Amino acid sequence: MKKLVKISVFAVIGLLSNTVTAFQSTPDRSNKVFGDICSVAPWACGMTISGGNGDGFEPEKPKPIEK
Amino acid sequence: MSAEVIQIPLTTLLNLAALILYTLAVKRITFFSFVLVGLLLIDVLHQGIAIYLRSFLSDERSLSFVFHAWYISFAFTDFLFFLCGLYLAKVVGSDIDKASQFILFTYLVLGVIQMLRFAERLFTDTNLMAWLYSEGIPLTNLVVTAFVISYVIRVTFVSLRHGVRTV
Repeated sequence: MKKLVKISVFAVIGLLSNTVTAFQSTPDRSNKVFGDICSVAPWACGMTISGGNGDGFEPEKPKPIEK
Repeated sequence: MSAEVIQIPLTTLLNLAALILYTLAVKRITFFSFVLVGLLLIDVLHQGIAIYLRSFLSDERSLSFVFHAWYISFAFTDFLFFLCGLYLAKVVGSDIDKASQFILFTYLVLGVIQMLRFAERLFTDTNLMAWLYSEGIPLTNLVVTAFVISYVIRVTFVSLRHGVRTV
């Protein structure tokens, strides 16, 4: 069991490094704070791409219907 | 094929890895295990909601639907996750550990942010919460994932040390 846990630790590290590398090519964050972070540390951008709660994106507000 | 792989949210992958590692480390199912499963489900659900609603963005007639559904669906699922956590703790009769408390409370706050921003955009023309919404939500996603990973790694090391002592 101890061996299995050790293997899992390495698997998590491997998964982390691979997925972070995979996300490096998609830094499409346009807001200020994350734009700055992306320019300094591109791997950090991948951490929030496609996150929960819409990831800070907001849809356009519909125009009021004119009577 | 590779483009499809990139569509998988990193937070979901990391939470899944954390759940596997945590289960192997503690060798039993705890309340935190349920919270991690809930976190995974809500990640997938939110991803689905975002993809579904974004598909309507190009249609002018659907803007009103997308605008309302965006905030309400995210807030509803956040509150549901929080309430399910409380209900589960009551049914199982277990205390909610500090890590689970933090995650559940974070989702309660996220739900409140969604509703406040929705009310602000719906009833006023101000943009007081715009910064909190656009920066706060991605930052919270990052904090929750970093918290889960660091907590599970800590539990794993404690478990390994405990295992060495008992041998």
